[in-house]
Amino acid sequence: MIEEAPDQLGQWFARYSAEGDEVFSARLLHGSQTLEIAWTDNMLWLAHRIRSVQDCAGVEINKITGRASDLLLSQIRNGTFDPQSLSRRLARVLGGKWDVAAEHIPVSDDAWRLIMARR
Amino acid sequence: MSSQQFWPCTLSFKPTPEELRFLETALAEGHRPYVCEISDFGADADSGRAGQIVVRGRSRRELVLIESRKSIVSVFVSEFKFAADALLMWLGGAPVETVLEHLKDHLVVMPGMTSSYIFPHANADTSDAAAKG
Repeated sequence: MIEEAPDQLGQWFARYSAEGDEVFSARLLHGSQTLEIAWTDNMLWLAHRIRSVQDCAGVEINKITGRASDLLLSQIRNGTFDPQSLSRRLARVLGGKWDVAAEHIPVSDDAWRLIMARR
Repeated sequence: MSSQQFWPCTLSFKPTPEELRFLETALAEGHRPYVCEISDFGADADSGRAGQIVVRGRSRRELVLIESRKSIVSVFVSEFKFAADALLMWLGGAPVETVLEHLKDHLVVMPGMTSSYIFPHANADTSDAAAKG
């Protein structure tokens, strides 16, 4: 995990593939334990990537948010997204118990975000 | 933060010159620009058209074009300013083909995807995203 330059709102973290593609990027908001995911190419690796951010930042992350896109958005729309599975994965990798929910964003009929919160 | 903060308003951060230009231009053109989800931008037009510019990294953005509350297409671009110009074109009534043509030199393929576009309501045979799903 690479610690990138911060902006006004938070500290950016990124992971790059061997080819140099930014496969994951997220921003740890200043003065908080909230991580805003901007992009991940693979939901299966999400918990491990969050763990890497946590280790790099030296902060226990207790809330994670992210606007759904592409495959994840399709899964939320068609009802195949499994929040319990993601919750278990977060608990296994980050410890503790996690609530995971897809929340509708009222800007359009099909905009959703994920909210993951440590209990 | 999930609610929209309609411009002009006090933001929790200082917008970049490009972001400020988008907010002011959209307002001057009679639309309703806003900030939501920490630092995503968007605007609504009286025509029923709308759009959002979603943060997808330090510079990359996802432009979502919306009509009658349905997403028509999502396009991934390299910088905010290209998404902002395209969104203003869309709100002003430009056809979606014209907007996409305008963006053709600024598209990015996000890791994990095979295309710079997502057509969420297209037929499976016309959409990479549908094929992935």
